Amino acid sequence: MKNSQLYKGSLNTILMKLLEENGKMYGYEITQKVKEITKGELKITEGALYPALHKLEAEGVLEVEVVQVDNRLRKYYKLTEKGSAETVNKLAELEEFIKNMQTIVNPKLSY
Amino acid sequence: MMQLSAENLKFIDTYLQNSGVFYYDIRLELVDHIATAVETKMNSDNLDFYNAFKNYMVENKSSLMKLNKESVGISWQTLNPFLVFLIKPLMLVLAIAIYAFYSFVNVHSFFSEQFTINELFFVFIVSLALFQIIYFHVLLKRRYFTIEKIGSILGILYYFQLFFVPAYENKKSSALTLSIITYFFVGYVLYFYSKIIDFKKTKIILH
Repeated sequence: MKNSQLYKGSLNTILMKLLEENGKMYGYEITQKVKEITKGELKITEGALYPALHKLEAEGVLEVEVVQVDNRLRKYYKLTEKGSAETVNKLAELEEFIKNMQTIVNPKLSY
Repeated sequence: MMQLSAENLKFIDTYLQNSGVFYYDIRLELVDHIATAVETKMNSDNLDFYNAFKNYMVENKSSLMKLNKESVGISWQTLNPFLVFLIKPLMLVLAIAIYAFYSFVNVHSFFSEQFTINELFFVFIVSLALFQIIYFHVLLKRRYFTIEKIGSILGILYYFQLFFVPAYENKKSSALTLSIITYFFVGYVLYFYSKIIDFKKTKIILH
Protein backbone atom coordinates (compact mmCIF):
# COMPACT_ATOMS: atom_id res chain seq x y z
CA MET A 1 0.00 0.00 0.00
CA LYS A 2 1.25 3.45 -0.86
CA ASN A 3 2.25 5.61 2.14
CA SER A 4 1.34 2.54 4.13
CA GLN A 5 1.54 3.92 7.66
CA LEU A 6 -1.01 6.64 6.96
CA TYR A 7 -3.45 4.43 5.10
CA LYS A 8 -3.08 1.26 7.16
CA GLY A 9 -5.35 2.31 9.99
CA SER A 10 -8.16 3.05 7.56
CA LEU A 11 -7.98 -0.12 5.48
CA ASN A 12 -10.95 -1.77 7.22
CA THR A 13 -13.05 1.35 6.80
CA ILE A 14 -12.15 1.55 3.10
CA LEU A 15 -13.16 -2.10 2.60
CA MET A 16 -16.42 -1.71 4.51
CA LYS A 17 -17.33 1.48 2.63
CA LEU A 18 -16.70 -0.21 -0.73
CA LEU A 19 -18.82 -3.22 0.20
CA GLU A 20 -21.57 -0.94 1.46
CA GLU A 21 -21.69 0.76 -1.94
CA ASN A 22 -21.21 -2.24 -4.17
CA GLY A 23 -22.91 -5.08 -2.32
CA LYS A 24 -20.76 -8.18 -2.81
CA MET A 25 -17.21 -7.99 -4.13
CA TYR A 26 -14.23 -10.32 -4.55
CA GLY A 27 -10.61 -9.55 -3.68
CA TYR A 28 -9.28 -8.64 -7.11
CA GLU A 29 -12.32 -6.47 -7.79
CA ILE A 30 -11.67 -4.50 -4.58
CA THR A 31 -8.03 -3.78 -5.50
CA GLN A 32 -9.07 -2.61 -8.97
CA LYS A 33 -11.92 -0.49 -7.65
CA VAL A 34 -9.64 1.32 -5.19
CA LYS A 35 -7.09 1.88 -7.95
CA GLU A 36 -9.81 3.25 -10.22
CA ILE A 37 -11.37 5.59 -7.64
CA THR A 38 -8.01 7.02 -6.57
CA LYS A 39 -6.72 7.12 -10.17
CA GLY A 40 -3.88 4.75 -9.31
CA GLU A 41 -2.76 6.74 -6.26
CA LEU A 42 -3.70 4.04 -3.76
CA LYS A 43 -2.78 0.44 -4.47
CA ILE A 44 -3.93 -2.18 -1.97
CA THR A 45 -1.60 -5.18 -2.06
CA GLU A 46 -2.76 -8.78 -1.70
CA GLY A 47 -0.65 -9.15 1.42
CA ALA A 48 -2.64 -6.40 3.14
CA LEU A 49 -6.05 -7.02 1.62
CA TYR A 50 -6.70 -10.69 2.35
CA PRO A 51 -5.62 -10.80 6.01
CA ALA A 52 -7.88 -7.76 6.58
CA LEU A 53 -10.82 -9.45 4.84
CA HIS A 54 -10.26 -12.70 6.78
CA LYS A 55 -10.14 -10.80 10.05
CA LEU A 56 -13.38 -8.94 9.31
CA GLU A 57 -14.97 -12.25 8.34
CA ALA A 58 -13.89 -13.86 11.62
CA GLU A 59 -15.30 -10.89 13.53
CA GLY A 60 -18.68 -11.37 11.88
CA VAL A 61 -18.51 -8.05 10.01
CA LEU A 62 -18.37 -9.79 6.62
CA GLU A 63 -19.83 -13.01 5.29
CA VAL A 64 -18.67 -14.98 2.29
CA GLU A 65 -20.33 -16.60 -0.66
CA VAL A 66 -18.46 -18.93 -2.98
CA VAL A 67 -19.58 -18.89 -6.59
CA GLN A 68 -18.42 -20.92 -9.58
CA VAL A 69 -17.15 -18.44 -12.20
CA ASP A 70 -15.82 -19.80 -15.51
CA ASN A 71 -13.79 -22.83 -14.46
CA ARG A 72 -12.85 -21.74 -10.97
CA LEU A 73 -14.35 -20.76 -7.64
CA ARG A 74 -14.66 -17.15 -6.57
CA LYS A 75 -15.04 -15.98 -2.99
CA TYR A 76 -17.33 -12.96 -2.63
CA TYR A 77 -17.50 -10.82 0.50
CA LYS A 78 -20.49 -8.84 1.69
CA LEU A 79 -21.42 -6.95 4.85
CA THR A 80 -23.46 -8.71 7.49
CA GLU A 81 -26.18 -6.86 9.38
CA LYS A 82 -23.69 -6.21 12.17
CA GLY A 83 -21.17 -5.07 9.55
CA SER A 84 -23.56 -2.55 8.02
CA ALA A 85 -24.19 -1.00 11.42
CA GLU A 86 -20.49 -0.88 12.15
CA THR A 87 -19.74 0.76 8.80
CA VAL A 88 -21.80 3.79 9.84
CA ASN A 89 -19.74 4.17 13.03
CA LYS A 90 -16.43 3.60 11.26
CA LEU A 91 -17.21 6.23 8.64
CA ALA A 92 -18.26 8.78 11.25
CA GLU A 93 -15.03 8.06 13.12
CA LEU A 94 -12.95 8.52 9.97
CA GLU A 95 -14.71 11.77 9.06
CA GLU A 96 -14.02 13.10 12.53
CA PHE A 97 -10.37 12.11 12.12
CA ILE A 98 -10.11 13.87 8.73
CA LYS A 99 -11.71 16.97 10.20
CA ASN A 100 -9.25 17.05 13.08
CA MET A 101 -6.28 16.44 10.82
CA GLN A 102 -7.39 19.30 8.62
CA THR A 103 -7.57 21.63 11.61
CA ILE A 104 -4.09 20.63 12.67
CA VAL A 105 -2.41 20.62 9.26
CA ASN A 106 -4.13 23.63 7.80
CA PRO A 107 -5.63 25.75 10.61
CA LYS A 108 -6.69 28.61 8.32
CA LEU A 109 -8.98 26.39 6.31
CA SER A 110 -10.54 24.85 9.38
CA TYR A 111 -14.29 24.72 9.70
CA MET B 1 -11.47 -11.82 -23.10
CA MET B 2 -8.85 -14.55 -22.81
CA GLN B 3 -9.71 -17.26 -20.32
CA LEU B 4 -7.29 -19.51 -18.47
CA SER B 5 -7.57 -23.25 -19.00
CA ALA B 6 -7.92 -25.80 -16.22
CA GLU B 7 -4.21 -26.66 -16.70
CA ASN B 8 -3.23 -23.01 -16.26
CA LEU B 9 -5.23 -22.85 -13.02
CA LYS B 10 -3.63 -26.07 -11.81
CA PHE B 11 -0.22 -24.57 -12.62
CA ILE B 12 -0.94 -21.52 -10.44
CA ASP B 13 -2.24 -23.73 -7.62
CA THR B 14 0.86 -25.95 -7.72
CA TYR B 15 3.10 -22.88 -7.84
CA LEU B 16 1.46 -21.48 -4.70
CA GLN B 17 1.60 -24.85 -2.96
CA ASN B 18 5.34 -25.08 -3.69
CA SER B 19 5.77 -21.55 -2.38
CA GLY B 20 4.39 -22.66 0.97
CA VAL B 21 0.76 -21.56 0.77
CA PHE B 22 -0.52 -24.82 2.24
CA TYR B 23 -4.02 -23.83 3.33
CA TYR B 24 -6.45 -24.86 0.60
CA ASP B 25 -9.04 -22.13 1.27
CA ILE B 26 -6.39 -19.38 1.10
CA ARG B 27 -4.95 -20.89 -2.10
CA LEU B 28 -8.36 -21.16 -3.73
CA GLU B 29 -8.90 -17.43 -3.23
CA LEU B 30 -5.41 -16.55 -4.44
CA VAL B 31 -5.70 -18.73 -7.55
CA ASP B 32 -8.79 -16.75 -8.57
CA HIS B 33 -7.04 -13.45 -7.78
CA ILE B 34 -3.89 -14.29 -9.74
CA ALA B 35 -5.87 -15.85 -12.61
CA THR B 36 -8.00 -12.72 -13.01
CA ALA B 37 -4.91 -10.49 -12.90
CA VAL B 38 -3.06 -12.72 -15.40
CA GLU B 39 -6.05 -12.80 -17.77
CA THR B 40 -6.22 -9.00 -17.68
CA LYS B 41 -2.47 -8.79 -18.39
CA MET B 42 -2.72 -11.30 -21.27
CA ASN B 43 -5.39 -9.15 -22.90
CA SER B 44 -3.93 -5.72 -22.29
CA ASP B 45 -0.28 -6.55 -23.06
CA ASN B 46 -0.99 -9.29 -25.61
CA LEU B 47 1.08 -11.88 -23.75
CA ASP B 48 0.82 -15.68 -23.49
CA PHE B 49 0.00 -17.31 -20.13
CA TYR B 50 3.56 -18.00 -18.96
CA ASN B 51 4.87 -14.51 -19.70
CA ALA B 52 1.85 -12.81 -18.16
CA PHE B 53 2.17 -15.05 -15.07
CA LYS B 54 5.91 -14.38 -14.80
CA ASN B 55 5.42 -10.61 -15.07
CA TYR B 56 2.69 -10.69 -12.44
CA MET B 57 4.81 -12.72 -10.04
CA VAL B 58 7.86 -10.46 -10.45
CA GLU B 59 5.69 -7.53 -9.36
CA ASN B 60 3.64 -9.18 -6.64
CA LYS B 61 5.32 -12.23 -5.19
CA SER B 62 6.73 -10.56 -2.09
CA SER B 63 3.32 -9.17 -1.19
CA LEU B 64 1.60 -12.51 -1.83
CA MET B 65 4.01 -14.36 0.40
CA LYS B 66 3.04 -12.11 3.30
CA LEU B 67 -0.16 -14.12 3.37
CA ASN B 68 1.81 -17.07 4.69
CA LYS B 69 2.37 -15.11 7.85
CA GLU B 70 -1.33 -15.27 8.66
CA SER B 71 -1.24 -17.74 11.49
CA VAL B 72 -3.78 -19.89 13.27
CA GLY B 73 -2.20 -18.90 16.57
CA ILE B 74 -4.09 -18.11 19.73
CA SER B 75 -5.86 -14.78 19.60
CA TRP B 76 -8.71 -12.95 21.29
CA GLN B 77 -10.38 -12.71 17.90
CA THR B 78 -10.65 -16.54 17.85
CA LEU B 79 -11.53 -16.98 21.51
CA ASN B 80 -14.18 -14.27 21.76
CA PRO B 81 -16.83 -15.95 19.52
CA PHE B 82 -16.38 -19.19 21.51
CA LEU B 83 -17.05 -17.42 24.81
CA VAL B 84 -20.07 -15.67 23.30
CA PHE B 85 -21.30 -19.10 22.13
CA LEU B 86 -20.92 -20.48 25.68
CA ILE B 87 -23.28 -17.87 27.15
CA LYS B 88 -26.06 -18.27 24.59
CA PRO B 89 -29.39 -18.97 26.37
CA LEU B 90 -29.73 -22.52 25.02
CA MET B 91 -26.17 -23.31 26.05
CA LEU B 92 -26.84 -21.99 29.55
CA VAL B 93 -29.87 -24.27 29.78
CA LEU B 94 -27.51 -27.11 28.86
CA ALA B 95 -25.10 -25.98 31.58
CA ILE B 96 -27.88 -26.12 34.17
CA ALA B 97 -28.95 -29.54 32.87
CA ILE B 98 -25.40 -30.86 33.25
CA TYR B 99 -25.21 -29.52 36.80
CA ALA B 100 -28.62 -30.99 37.65
CA PHE B 101 -27.54 -34.33 36.22
CA TYR B 102 -24.37 -34.48 38.32
CA SER B 103 -26.23 -33.32 41.44
CA PHE B 104 -29.04 -35.88 41.22
CA VAL B 105 -27.26 -38.82 39.65
CA ASN B 106 -24.51 -39.27 42.11
CA VAL B 107 -21.59 -39.67 39.68
CA HIS B 108 -19.45 -36.81 40.89
CA SER B 109 -18.59 -38.52 44.15
CA PHE B 110 -16.24 -40.79 42.18
CA PHE B 111 -14.28 -37.78 40.95
CA SER B 112 -12.35 -35.64 43.41
CA GLU B 113 -11.93 -32.00 42.51
CA GLN B 114 -8.20 -32.56 42.11
CA PHE B 115 -8.74 -35.49 39.73
CA THR B 116 -11.33 -33.56 37.72
CA ILE B 117 -9.06 -30.61 37.09
CA ASN B 118 -5.67 -32.30 36.88
CA GLU B 119 -6.56 -35.49 35.05
CA LEU B 120 -10.07 -35.49 33.62
CA PHE B 121 -9.83 -32.05 32.01
CA PHE B 122 -6.49 -33.04 30.50
CA VAL B 123 -7.96 -36.29 29.12
CA PHE B 124 -10.81 -34.29 27.56
CA ILE B 125 -8.37 -31.90 25.87
CA VAL B 126 -6.07 -34.67 24.63
CA SER B 127 -8.94 -36.70 23.19
CA LEU B 128 -10.33 -33.62 21.42
CA ALA B 129 -6.88 -32.81 20.08
CA LEU B 130 -6.47 -36.38 18.79
CA PHE B 131 -9.87 -36.20 17.15
CA GLN B 132 -8.92 -32.91 15.48
CA ILE B 133 -5.63 -34.26 14.16
CA ILE B 134 -7.44 -37.24 12.64
CA TYR B 135 -10.17 -34.98 11.28
CA PHE B 136 -7.75 -32.46 9.75
CA HIS B 137 -5.30 -34.90 8.24
CA VAL B 138 -7.25 -38.06 7.50
CA LEU B 139 -10.86 -37.06 6.85
CA LEU B 140 -10.48 -33.60 5.31
CA LYS B 141 -7.27 -34.54 3.47
CA ARG B 142 -6.64 -30.85 2.83
CA ARG B 143 -5.68 -28.12 5.27
CA TYR B 144 -8.14 -25.27 5.76
CA PHE B 145 -7.14 -22.05 7.46
CA THR B 146 -10.68 -21.31 8.61
CA ILE B 147 -11.05 -24.69 10.35
CA GLU B 148 -7.59 -24.94 11.90
CA LYS B 149 -8.10 -21.50 13.38
CA ILE B 150 -11.11 -22.81 15.33
CA GLY B 151 -8.96 -25.72 16.52
CA SER B 152 -6.54 -23.31 18.18
CA ILE B 153 -9.14 -22.65 20.92
CA LEU B 154 -8.16 -26.03 22.31
CA GLY B 155 -4.69 -24.61 22.93
CA ILE B 156 -6.25 -21.88 25.05
CA LEU B 157 -8.22 -24.46 27.07
CA TYR B 158 -4.98 -26.35 27.62
CA TYR B 159 -3.27 -23.27 29.08
CA PHE B 160 -6.37 -22.64 31.15
CA GLN B 161 -6.03 -26.12 32.62
CA LEU B 162 -2.29 -25.66 33.33
CA PHE B 163 -3.14 -22.45 35.15
CA PHE B 164 -5.39 -24.27 37.62
CA VAL B 165 -3.32 -27.42 38.20
CA PRO B 166 -1.04 -26.24 41.00
CA ALA B 167 -3.88 -24.64 42.95
CA TYR B 168 -6.08 -27.70 43.26
CA GLU B 169 -5.28 -30.35 45.76
CA ASN B 170 -8.76 -30.72 47.09
CA LYS B 171 -9.60 -34.42 47.44
CA LYS B 172 -13.29 -33.74 47.99
CA SER B 173 -15.68 -34.29 45.14
CA SER B 174 -17.55 -31.40 43.60
CA ALA B 175 -20.53 -31.55 41.26
CA LEU B 176 -19.92 -27.92 40.28
CA THR B 177 -16.30 -28.41 39.18
CA LEU B 178 -17.21 -31.53 37.25
CA SER B 179 -20.10 -29.65 35.63
CA ILE B 180 -17.88 -26.74 34.56
CA ILE B 181 -15.28 -29.06 33.02
CA THR B 182 -17.97 -31.11 31.25
CA TYR B 183 -19.57 -27.89 30.03
CA PHE B 184 -16.32 -26.70 28.45
CA PHE B 185 -15.93 -30.09 26.78
CA VAL B 186 -19.49 -30.31 25.44
CA GLY B 187 -19.49 -26.59 24.58
CA TYR B 188 -16.30 -26.95 22.57
CA VAL B 189 -17.60 -29.98 20.66
CA LEU B 190 -20.85 -28.17 19.79
CA TYR B 191 -19.01 -24.98 18.83
CA PHE B 192 -16.55 -26.84 16.60
CA TYR B 193 -19.43 -28.73 14.99
CA SER B 194 -21.47 -25.57 14.33
CA LYS B 195 -18.45 -23.87 12.77
CA ILE B 196 -17.78 -26.85 10.49
CA ILE B 197 -21.42 -26.73 9.36
CA ASP B 198 -21.06 -22.98 8.64
CA PHE B 199 -17.86 -23.57 6.72
CA LYS B 200 -19.39 -26.39 4.69
CA LYS B 201 -22.13 -23.99 3.61
CA THR B 202 -19.49 -21.88 1.83
CA LYS B 203 -18.90 -24.94 -0.41
CA ILE B 204 -15.12 -24.48 -0.27
CA ILE B 205 -14.76 -27.81 1.46
CA LEU B 206 -16.49 -29.81 -1.27
CA HIS B 207 -14.01 -28.97 -4.00
